[in-house]
Amino acid sequence: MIPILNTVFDLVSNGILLYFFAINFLYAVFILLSVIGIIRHNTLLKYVTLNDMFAQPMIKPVSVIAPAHNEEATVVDNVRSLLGLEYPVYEIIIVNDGSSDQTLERLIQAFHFKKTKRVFRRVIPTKPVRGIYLSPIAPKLVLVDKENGRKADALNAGLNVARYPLFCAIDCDSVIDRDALLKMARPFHEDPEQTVGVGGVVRLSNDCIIKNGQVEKVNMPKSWLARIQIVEYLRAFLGSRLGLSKIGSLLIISGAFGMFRKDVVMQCGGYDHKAIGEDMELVVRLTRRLREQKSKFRIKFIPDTLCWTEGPESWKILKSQRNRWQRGLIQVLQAHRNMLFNPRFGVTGLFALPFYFVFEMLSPLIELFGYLILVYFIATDGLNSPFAIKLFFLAIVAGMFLSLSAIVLEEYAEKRFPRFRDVLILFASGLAENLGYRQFIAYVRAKAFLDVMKGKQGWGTMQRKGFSTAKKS
Amino acid sequence: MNDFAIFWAPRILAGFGLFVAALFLFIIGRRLDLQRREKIFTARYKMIEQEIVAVLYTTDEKAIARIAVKYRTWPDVLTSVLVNLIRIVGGEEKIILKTIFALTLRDDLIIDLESGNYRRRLTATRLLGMFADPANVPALLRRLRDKPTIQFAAVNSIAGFPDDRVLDFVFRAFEADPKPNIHHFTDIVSKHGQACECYIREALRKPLSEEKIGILIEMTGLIPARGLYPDIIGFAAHQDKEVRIKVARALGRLLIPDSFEVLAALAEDPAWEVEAQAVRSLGRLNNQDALSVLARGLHSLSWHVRNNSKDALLDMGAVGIRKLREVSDTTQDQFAADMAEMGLEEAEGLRSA
Repeated sequence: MIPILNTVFDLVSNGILLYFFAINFLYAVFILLSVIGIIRHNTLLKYVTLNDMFAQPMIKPVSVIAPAHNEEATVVDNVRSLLGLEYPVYEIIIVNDGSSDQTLERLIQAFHFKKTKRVFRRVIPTKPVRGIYLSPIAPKLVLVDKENGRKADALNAGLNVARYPLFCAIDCDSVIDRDALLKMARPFHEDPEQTVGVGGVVRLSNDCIIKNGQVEKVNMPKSWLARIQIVEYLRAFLGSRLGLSKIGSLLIISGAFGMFRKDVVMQCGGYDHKAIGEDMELVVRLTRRLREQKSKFRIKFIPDTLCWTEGPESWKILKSQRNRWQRGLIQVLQAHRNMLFNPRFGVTGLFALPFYFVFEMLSPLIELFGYLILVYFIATDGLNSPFAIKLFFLAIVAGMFLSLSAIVLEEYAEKRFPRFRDVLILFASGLAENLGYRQFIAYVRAKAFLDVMKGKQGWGTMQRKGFSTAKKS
Repeated sequence: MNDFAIFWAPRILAGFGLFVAALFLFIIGRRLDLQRREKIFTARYKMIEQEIVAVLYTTDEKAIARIAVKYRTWPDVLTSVLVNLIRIVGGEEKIILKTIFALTLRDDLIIDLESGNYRRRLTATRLLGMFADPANVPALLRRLRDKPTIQFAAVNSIAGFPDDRVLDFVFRAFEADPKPNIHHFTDIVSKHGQACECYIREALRKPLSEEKIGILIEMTGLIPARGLYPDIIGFAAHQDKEVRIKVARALGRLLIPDSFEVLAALAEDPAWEVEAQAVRSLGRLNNQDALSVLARGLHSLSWHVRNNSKDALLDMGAVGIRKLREVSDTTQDQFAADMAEMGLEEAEGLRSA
């Protein structure tokens, strides 16, 4: 019996090592693809200015939809920053999603909103809309006050009210770069028939200097937790999503900032109000529908920073955020499981979804299992086990390699940290990320499986310092 | 500890440590190199810019040729200088810049236009659009079948040529294109304006596909080419819904009083899309006979028709607002009343603004 058990144990151990090898290999490939993507992106923008778009006779107007729920601390500043965006024609739809604090009152007071009898088409069902407000001092602004649903429900309410052919879904608590709409809309003008969605890089705004609703100076956060997340975001956006988009496998456009063609999203029924990860769910459903219709389409990712968001600086909030992301991922993959390995859905069915399933959804379970076996080996053999050493190299050292490579990608993309000291801190964060932080996140994500089985639906809370208390000049 | 651990692990760790140090040094090295290159670029840029600016206000052809010979070995810097200058100068100065371009960069770029390298084709398309002459348009038109980014660049380049000869090439390409992109051709035509009128007229008389007829009608409205009114009016009864929509839209831009009857007929079209467009255009026409048609539109089953009728009544000013109030006060149709009230509120907003 024991030889059989040993064989099984060996097989499992080797399987885990193979898994780590495969995941690191794939991410290394994505990073290579990203390097190509970044270099190409930079050369493609040679000899053009974004302002050329103002001269286009057929420029597509954009509706910016910003759901807000209990954001009294930041909402007015954020809406002011949205009013400063550069784009020829756009409207801003703030959706007050049944806030229980003073969000609505602060907005009404700041922008002199007046309730109107505006009539709109309720194409996508949402929780009841209590009122639509317009601002006489800022005609671009529309305020939709509705009963509390989820973020997806608020976005759907915004979609029903939106008037323009493109819409940009943003988080109301994010800082959007002034020229972000121009950058995002460019692919829609270059390829109006096929482009259905565009995403860009989201970065952390912790400790950055924000003036007039714009990130004026990028600082390295004081909190190590935030520093590690900076590297994590670089790897996720520059290293992974850009690489995935190069092979037509991008399935997430961040909910913090993404632009879509409204007609296509409306045909799909808008956002799924039951989804926890409504951003990914929408992209997967769009992809599914367009593949079913055999339509040619493109979902693009541009390696420019367009949006800044505050990352959690406490372990508790981080835990809640990552738990939610993982539950969202599980829910989406479960809902669209019949697309997995289905050739009918092309690269999405044969590569993108299986990749997310095996290397994103299952990764915390396999990773934790690997660590458990490692602990067992160390307990029984000490450091004699080749498995322990191989796992250390494949899980930890290779992870560090990928994190550091993402920092190099940032050098090619934007160089937002000009001081060498900051680069050194990023390096240290990239190394530290793999020594404790990553294992903690794996534990949190693994626990999300239990929460899904228990039927947990909540979003958890995300307390933010707000830009008014962030360093501000 | 086993052999692997004793022999390999420290070596791999040391290797990784070296890798980390090398990456950091790479970043430092790269930054320093970029700084050095930028310095050289800036110095050369200033030098070239000074000399070119000096010849911009002379007609010394020899000086122009001298600059061309002197700086053709620094094509990147020269291109940047030329691109930045052409954006801010006009008239004679532009011609001088184009001459320098022709003497230095043009020939290579014409070759690049057909290159297998995507980046080269794109750069050539953009630069030829800024500096070249209409003779290059046929080559640029071929780029309309290239990748989307190059297509977009080609459209901008072609649209930028202020020469009527270009339109001949454009319309020939349009007719030959089995699936023309509406955005591309309308972008080009709307920049050339009235000069396109005769080309559109000629094309409308040819047996083209419904899609192309639709694009031509759309162009007519965009310019707007009022002289083409007799040519497009016949399409108001076209069997294809899309064509009728485009006629309704174009008529709303041409604003020819005689088109009232046609638009009123289109406002009763069985397709709500045509109806919605027709009522919108009727409002722009500002003919008081349209009031009853628009009031009827407020009762339509289609939200779009109701909404456009409301907007059209607002376009008509005081009489339209009176009609909205009348509907709001008297109708039993809640949908029409809501729309009319929304219109009245918008009118109030407009007044206070």
